[in-house]
Amino acid sequence: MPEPLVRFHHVQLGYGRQVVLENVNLDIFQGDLFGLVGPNGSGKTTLLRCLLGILKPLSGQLTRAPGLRIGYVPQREMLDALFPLTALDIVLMGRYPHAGIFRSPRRADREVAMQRLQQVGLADSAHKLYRELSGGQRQRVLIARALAVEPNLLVLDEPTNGLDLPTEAAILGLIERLHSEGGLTIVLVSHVLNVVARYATRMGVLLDGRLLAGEAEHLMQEQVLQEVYGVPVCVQRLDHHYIVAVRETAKECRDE
Amino acid sequence: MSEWLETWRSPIAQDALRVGIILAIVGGYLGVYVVLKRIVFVGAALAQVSAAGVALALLVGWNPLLSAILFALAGSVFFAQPYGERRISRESIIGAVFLTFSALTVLLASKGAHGMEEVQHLLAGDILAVAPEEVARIWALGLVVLVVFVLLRKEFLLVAFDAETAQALGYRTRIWEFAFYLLLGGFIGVVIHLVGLVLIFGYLVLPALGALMLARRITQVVGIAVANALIATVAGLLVSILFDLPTTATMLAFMSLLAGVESVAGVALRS
Repeated sequence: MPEPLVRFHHVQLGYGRQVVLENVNLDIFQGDLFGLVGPNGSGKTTLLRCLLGILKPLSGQLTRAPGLRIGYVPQREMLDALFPLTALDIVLMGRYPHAGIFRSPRRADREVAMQRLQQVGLADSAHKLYRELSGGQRQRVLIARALAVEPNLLVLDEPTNGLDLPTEAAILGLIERLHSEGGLTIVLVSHVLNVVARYATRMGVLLDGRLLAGEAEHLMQEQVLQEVYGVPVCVQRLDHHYIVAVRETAKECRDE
Repeated sequence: MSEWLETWRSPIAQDALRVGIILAIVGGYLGVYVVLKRIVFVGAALAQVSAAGVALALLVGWNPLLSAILFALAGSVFFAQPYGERRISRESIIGAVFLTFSALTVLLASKGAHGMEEVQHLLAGDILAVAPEEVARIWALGLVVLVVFVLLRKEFLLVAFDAETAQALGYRTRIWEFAFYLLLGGFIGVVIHLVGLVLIFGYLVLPALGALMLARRITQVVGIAVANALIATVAGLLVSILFDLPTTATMLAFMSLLAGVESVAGVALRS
């Protein structure tokens, strides 16, 4: 069994005296595409902040593999478009730790930033203002910035929020390529179960202060989801996508 | 005309010009970040806290500069604290601090030797009244703030734009926020008792506003903001001497004029 990149062992998370998540046990292995799902307020952000090293566990053990570098893609809505920054300016931020304090990013850092923009298909927009880009382009800029860190773990927080269907598919396609072709370990956080289940190899579902983690195929069973969400659900598959719907009657699920 | 030239060349006007130049450079630069971080009224509140420090010092016989800096730094510590979800907004807290320290300034100054005259000086200030021995001190402290800010500009930018990612990259954002407020509070504390609250607040807001409307890159914004502040300083000083107008108000009028013209030009360019 390989050593995980990140291991949560009986971890309790919260703020001050307020416990948000209890007894979290989770391993993220090299090559995983781990999907974290849960309704708003279920503790996704708390778990994410702990994974990123922003929040310390109240108790339990959190271990990270030596030399772990995390590339983080925050929610687009958290960033202030007032700042007159170009796509390249923002991607270069991922190189700041490499440049070091008191020093500006060097030519090599600019080259890495341009390569990352090219990787996400935005090389032509390097000098465009971030605020003038579309939602999908902004998401790509933030992914490029996270890649500029040269991470071995990429963490994305709600990357498809507020995107139209084709743009959502394009962003998820990019994430899947980074995983399958680039071999990158990925943690994808979303409140949309279907999105996570389609791409994740392993999943975690947060509900009522606890984390239920396992293989995506095992979690996406009607009985499991009914237990987690407390309502009867139908789970069907169409072209590799899961379709999850709340069942309105006690009848069996059927095609319509 | 010769009388005007004589006044312009006088040591008083030349000292005011020297002080104005360093205020314009530091205030214009810091102001870009103050506006971008949406903490404009924190600048005003810090200036008011610092003014209360001066009023207290004048009443009890302390050094006004030291007291202003200490009060401003205490205010910086307060405002640098992260503000999560609370029952009242951050704006309300800023407003409460501003009002409390405004009242305190008036109360303390009213019991001082110069009474309400001192309050008037703290509010409106008079750059022409700066003592010659203060000029070198303001330049020295101003340059320290400027150099530190320039050296750390990329970290300040990252923390201001995306604190969460900065934390994920290993930056201790609370320390960076504190450092930013320390520089801002230090700058305000150094100059408040010399040039007054309104002029400092003007330097921190108006030059950056026009620049943000006009320019498209952060480096251009900083350059234009500093240029705006310098132009308004020199023009305001010249015109106030030429037409015998209040200097602070004339400088602020030029800052507002530039901000207005650049806003219109920015809109026209984009359309």
